[in-house]
Amino acid sequence: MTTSGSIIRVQNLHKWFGELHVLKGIDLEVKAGEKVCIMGPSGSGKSTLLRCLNFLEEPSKGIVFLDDLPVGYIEDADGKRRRDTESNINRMRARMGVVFQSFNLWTHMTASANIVEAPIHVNGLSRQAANEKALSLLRLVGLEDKKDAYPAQLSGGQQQRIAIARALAMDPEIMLFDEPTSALDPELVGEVLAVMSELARGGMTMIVVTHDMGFASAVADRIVFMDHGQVVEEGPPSTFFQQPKNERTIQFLAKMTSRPF
Amino acid sequence: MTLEWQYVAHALPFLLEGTLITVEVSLLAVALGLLVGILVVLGRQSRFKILRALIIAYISIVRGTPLFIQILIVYYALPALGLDIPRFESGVIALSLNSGAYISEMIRGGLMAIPKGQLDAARAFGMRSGLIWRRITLPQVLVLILPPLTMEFTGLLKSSALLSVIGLVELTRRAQQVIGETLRSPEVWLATAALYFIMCFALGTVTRRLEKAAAAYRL
Repeated sequence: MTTSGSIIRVQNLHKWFGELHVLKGIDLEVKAGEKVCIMGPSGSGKSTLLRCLNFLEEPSKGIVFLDDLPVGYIEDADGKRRRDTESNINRMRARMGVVFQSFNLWTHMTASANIVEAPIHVNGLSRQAANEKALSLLRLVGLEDKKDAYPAQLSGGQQQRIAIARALAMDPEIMLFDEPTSALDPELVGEVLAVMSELARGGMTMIVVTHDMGFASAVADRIVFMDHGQVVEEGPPSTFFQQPKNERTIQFLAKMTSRPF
Repeated sequence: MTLEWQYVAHALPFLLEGTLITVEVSLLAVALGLLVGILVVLGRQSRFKILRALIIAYISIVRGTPLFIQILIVYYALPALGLDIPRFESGVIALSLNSGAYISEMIRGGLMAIPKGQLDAARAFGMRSGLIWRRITLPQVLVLILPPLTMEFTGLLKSSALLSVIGLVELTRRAQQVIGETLRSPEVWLATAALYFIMCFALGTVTRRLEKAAAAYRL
């Protein structure tokens, strides 16, 4: 049944929070292996879009497909859409790794316990296999020596690298990043971006909501610019940064580049 | 009148028997109270309006009536409804229902202190709500409420003296019996008070250690 070749397909997605119309008909396709950066002013709906992808937020209208299967819904033979069961939704979610702006590590667990938690309890991995996997992921993010540290004992950059390892431990088909460096002190941003770039080189499919223009131009295959709940421009970084067409993109980029540092 | 401590020495083995019952009844009551507290919190999140209303009524009744009367009701009023429950079990039920209401309020407070993002993360990795509750929420809430829970446990231990009124031979009732035999009331009451104090002191020491160990992750 799969024909589109895209791993993520978003169709006419709308989200209202009460009266507030946050997403106003988003269409988006992401192919396997593609790296897409979503940029835009705060309040433009970037994070809400990301949260709709794995049904952390339920879309008000429209739908998200993962590998051509609707996320959060099942379609009857007559095309009627019903909400899917919790376990099916969870199975879909487990295929997408998420990294949050505020890390969201479980503070009562050590770094390695954070990493093995979902693989063991959701994927049914044995503790031994999970521990071995955790160790190799800790090596990947350069924090092998911190495996027994609690999140409170780690810097923000270290916590975010653990959070990336935690997401990777689920063997996700796609990684979603929600402003992964926005909560970090400037000197800690680099270590997190380095891990993400490494991941990109390894061929991971990535959707990254970010304000980091350097990262976006270096890593992204495509930049999606959002404003007021709509995609107003998209294209490869070279075109996007050098020859933006949309008036709002031009204004945004002008503001970003005139920042003091 | 001078205090004559040889009576206490003589009575001590009997008092210790009562102490054991006090410890048993209190331990059981706090364990069940914790369970009741958890169930009450879960029940308050239920979709069923009637269940939520019943739970709120239960909490208001427990808070709005004396524990003393609650004990009497469990022991004397329930048999009228055809439920004949022995003294020990009645005591455990009355105390755990009472502390369950208070513990549920502590848990509710603790829940609000868990960052929402941690639950988002758990959901994002496909964890079921029951699993999230068991692995992420509850362990953190229990550590958060350890200090008020200790106070509740200490209070429960002391309140268990009220169970003497339904004839449960715990420490206080035992003391009354010893006094009946020896007719030496001051020494025995002082010794009884000392035994309660030692229990509470030991409890405080244990939970302080527990708090330290459990809170290693909170810097």
